[in-house]
Amino acid sequence: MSDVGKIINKVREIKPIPAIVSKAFALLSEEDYDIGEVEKVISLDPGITADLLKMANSPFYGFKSKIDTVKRAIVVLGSKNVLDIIITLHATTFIKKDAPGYSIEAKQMWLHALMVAFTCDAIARKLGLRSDVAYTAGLLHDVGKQVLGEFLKKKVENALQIVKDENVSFLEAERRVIGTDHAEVGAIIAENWNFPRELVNAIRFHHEPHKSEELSELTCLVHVADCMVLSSGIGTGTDGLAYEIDPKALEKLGISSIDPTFIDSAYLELAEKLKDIENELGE
Amino acid sequence: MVIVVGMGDMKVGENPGSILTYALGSCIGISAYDPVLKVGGILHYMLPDASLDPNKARKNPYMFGNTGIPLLFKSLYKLGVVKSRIQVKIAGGADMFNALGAFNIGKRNYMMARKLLWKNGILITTEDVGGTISRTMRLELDTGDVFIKCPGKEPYTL
Repeated sequence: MSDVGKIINKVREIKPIPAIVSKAFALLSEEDYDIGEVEKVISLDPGITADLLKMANSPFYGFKSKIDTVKRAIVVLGSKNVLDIIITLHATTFIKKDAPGYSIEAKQMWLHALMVAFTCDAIARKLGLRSDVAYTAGLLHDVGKQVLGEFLKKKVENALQIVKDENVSFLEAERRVIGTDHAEVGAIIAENWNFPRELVNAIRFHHEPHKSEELSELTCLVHVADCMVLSSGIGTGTDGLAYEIDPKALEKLGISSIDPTFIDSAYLELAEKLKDIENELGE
Repeated sequence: MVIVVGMGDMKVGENPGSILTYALGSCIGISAYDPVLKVGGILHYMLPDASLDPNKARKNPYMFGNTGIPLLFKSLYKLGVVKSRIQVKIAGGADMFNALGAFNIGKRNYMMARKLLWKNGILITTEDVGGTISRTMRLELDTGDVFIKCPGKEPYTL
């Protein structure tokens, strides 16, 4: 069987996402939703309720008074944050793993995912864009690396040689040595989970927004956030920074590619966020 | 003892031990070492110019090249380090492909290091900068050797 065939089989073996997480998604994607409904969905799952309260009370959010009910968490953190937390808690199970081939350890994979998620959200707010699923898209953009990594392991030297000799991106090198790339595999995983089309596309085109027929703001956000986090070196592996920056995405978001202020300021925010997250995760 | 330098941070130390900084992407790592005293330091800065945000630069000068570099050297001089003996080694400054204009943070960072060191009459002993790789940098305070490690590769001496 070809690598691509084996990869498709691997993707099919990935567990479906729990109903509570898809419900959280559905709510996030709605224009406005009822807090009561969010509360109802969460309260159905005692495990997630416990994790949510633990996270809400962590120093990361820095609330002095104790948050002891789901309702209180929603009021204090806001329902979007609560839904983001639920998705984050679930995402750890398939993102926080070593990615062989890329030589990225579990903790670094997770740190990269969290940083891209926060940066997506931060850029969206800075630009005044809808940011409902931006965080989630950022969190999951590299999920394909978890499956592709196994296949890349034997061929990584070959891929790096192609990058070096032909000056092409690592994504292109993955396609040459394996027949597909981590963005495509990630999109197939997201499709299997029945994720909204916009989210699937953001994962599929996160390195090549210009290839997307309906160039969405979400895809561009994930692209720019990923470029920033990759540039910072956070959670980079053998692939390093060897990806293209797509000027079309910058243009679509109205980010000037000449004025360094926007990029540099966002970069500073990213560094501050990194400190918070590292404290939260523990050294 | 291993002293770890975070992103936008600087640490100095003396033998025995080593100073380590992880994942230099477009950031710059500057290692400075006095072989007689066996005292050295590493600065890991993120952006070239503190004029972007003077408030943040006051709070953490190590985020920026033009505020962090002078402090690295001042901290070493306080420990008795002599300028003429300092070995300066630089790593990082990578960029993505097609890093146009504002996005070529690595290149802008590297230019700031060159400019400031040159202005102050400090020679760069050796460097490993640019490209599209991320690097981890370790200074051995016993020998002054600097090791560079890239993901999935064996470390090598700079």
